[in-house]
Amino acid sequence: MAFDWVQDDDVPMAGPSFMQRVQNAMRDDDVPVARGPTIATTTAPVAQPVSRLQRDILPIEERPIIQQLMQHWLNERAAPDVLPCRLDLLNDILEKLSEQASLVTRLRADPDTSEEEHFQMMLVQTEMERVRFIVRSYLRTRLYKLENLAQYVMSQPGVQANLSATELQHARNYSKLVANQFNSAVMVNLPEAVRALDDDSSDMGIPPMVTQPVWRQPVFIHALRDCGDLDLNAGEKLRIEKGSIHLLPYERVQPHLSRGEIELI
Amino acid sequence: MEDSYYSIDAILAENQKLQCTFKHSVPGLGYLEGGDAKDIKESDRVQLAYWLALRPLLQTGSADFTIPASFSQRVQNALNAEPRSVRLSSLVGGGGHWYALGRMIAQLLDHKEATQLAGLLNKTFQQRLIDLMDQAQHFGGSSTTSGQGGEDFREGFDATERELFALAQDSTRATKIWHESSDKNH
Amino acid sequence: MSSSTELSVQLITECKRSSNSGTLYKYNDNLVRQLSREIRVLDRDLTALLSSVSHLPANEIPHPELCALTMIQTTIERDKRCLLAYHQFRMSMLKDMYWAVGGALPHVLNDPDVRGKLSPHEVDFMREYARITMEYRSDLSDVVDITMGIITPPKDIHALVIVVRDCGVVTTELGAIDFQKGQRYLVRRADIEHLILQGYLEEV
Repeated sequence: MAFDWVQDDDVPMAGPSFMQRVQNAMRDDDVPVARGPTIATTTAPVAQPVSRLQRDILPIEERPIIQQLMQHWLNERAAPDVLPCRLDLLNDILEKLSEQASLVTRLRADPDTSEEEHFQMMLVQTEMERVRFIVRSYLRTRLYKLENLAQYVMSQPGVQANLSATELQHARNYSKLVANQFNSAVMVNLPEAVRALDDDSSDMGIPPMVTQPVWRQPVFIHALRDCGDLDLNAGEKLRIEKGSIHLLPYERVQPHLSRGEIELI
Repeated sequence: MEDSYYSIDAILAENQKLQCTFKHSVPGLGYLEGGDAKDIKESDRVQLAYWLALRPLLQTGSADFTIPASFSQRVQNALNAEPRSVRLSSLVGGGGHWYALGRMIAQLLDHKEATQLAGLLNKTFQQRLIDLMDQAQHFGGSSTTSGQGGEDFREGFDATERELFALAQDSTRATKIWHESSDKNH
Repeated sequence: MSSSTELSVQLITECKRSSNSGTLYKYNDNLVRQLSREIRVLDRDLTALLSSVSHLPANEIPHPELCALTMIQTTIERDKRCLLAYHQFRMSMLKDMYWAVGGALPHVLNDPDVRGKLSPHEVDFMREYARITMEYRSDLSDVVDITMGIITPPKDIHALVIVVRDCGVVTTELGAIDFQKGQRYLVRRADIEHLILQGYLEEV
């Protein structure tokens, strides 16, 4: 009377699933445990969790999708500009979350579901909530940045390519909203010559009105590959070896980040 | 410190006053001297906010400025000898930003002097940072500046150091709580 | 002009105090008007000074007049910067308040304490911000609710809560629950997180 309730290899979990932890724990025992048919053994094989050590050097695209999302989330939180939107990854994950949710609903309503299976499902639901948390935080971090940089974004087609259609529309809406607010609350009472919203007197040390990303913001990088020599100030060079960790200005490492050679931590 | 057009801290930092001496008269701006004079006269000494002094100093060559006491030769000597012994808060006032003021002044100097000042700022910051972090992680006790010495040091922080200290303390506290919690394996 | 009672200094100092205390102050309409007026006066001074030297080619304007022109221009720019920074600072605070209550705009605007501190423009801003954010959210609203908390990762799908303010009957995944003030309930976090954010429930 066993039935499948975890269909997919790629269970969206933030770490080893409960069942994997249970199975690993059992292997620690000296006493072999007879395992008859249970929900655990009748499920489709779950993808082996990648150990932290291996994962640490694995190119991002080769990791399980949840770990990919987590890394893109970390990158996004550390980077001063808005990185390319991983909508594909999000859609995959959201689809799987949706599938899991319907599955769980079905099983919870099924009178044949055992006590143990109900408990397991609660753990699966907890994992799902944690994945949702990361998705939320990823989107909100991007939202926060694109609002602060809205005017800049609207003037840079290159940056716009990094946004999803929804994000781009929001940047457009938001920059209009702020401009309207400034114009109606402030500029309307000032002389015409003073009303510009794009002054730039950086030659005299005044930051431009159109706020730019802080390109020189220091970020911690973790090299996933050998990146050769990095040019620093005053002719110095820094060798970036695979597995090494450095604190560097973002603008120096940005090309390596976009090529997937480093990750931000 | 964040340095954007809209940054409150960046705007406030530029309100710092500089002592300027005008090389020629300036019509109509006598009120800057606080008295009744209509115009600024040649050789007049006027306290100008940094943001206002920039163009007369750098663009129109209308004035010279005096390096403030907080960066005098005496202070520089003391910092070069023992950076941790100087109370930066006494130099710029309780909520003052000594490092930010230093950076602003460096913009007004010629290349050689600016490089020297930048070097001093960096060296001072790095050396004081060691003790700052040490104290933050041990809640006030450290091998080099413990007890009353530690308290004096902390009272001498400029605003930036005070912020860093608070952040480091919070971080240490949070790490401690995490270590002691039973949930960290999940 | 160079004293600590300068209008622009007052406006920005108010922002700093507001930021330090984490409270929103009342919109300082008076100060904003005065500063705008100062800009208009300075602009007139600038125009007058310009006309007095307009007969001269640019490179023959005497140093005193040139210096005065740049200093007046700089002051105008400075005042403008402070006005805009003030409004931007308040917009940021209002956005923070919006997200702090999980995007429930009425919760902010219907609070008389908050409403009394906003200028009419700011009320419009909040409404419009809520509208464009709704538009953004509508894309994903059936799969993920981005207004939920992003500070603490959930460790448990359930939360033990106590009712601190009446919120009546709430539909949850377990059915309708009539939350009684002072009582405790074990509920699914996702169902009631917005009630925690808005202050009706408190996590035990």
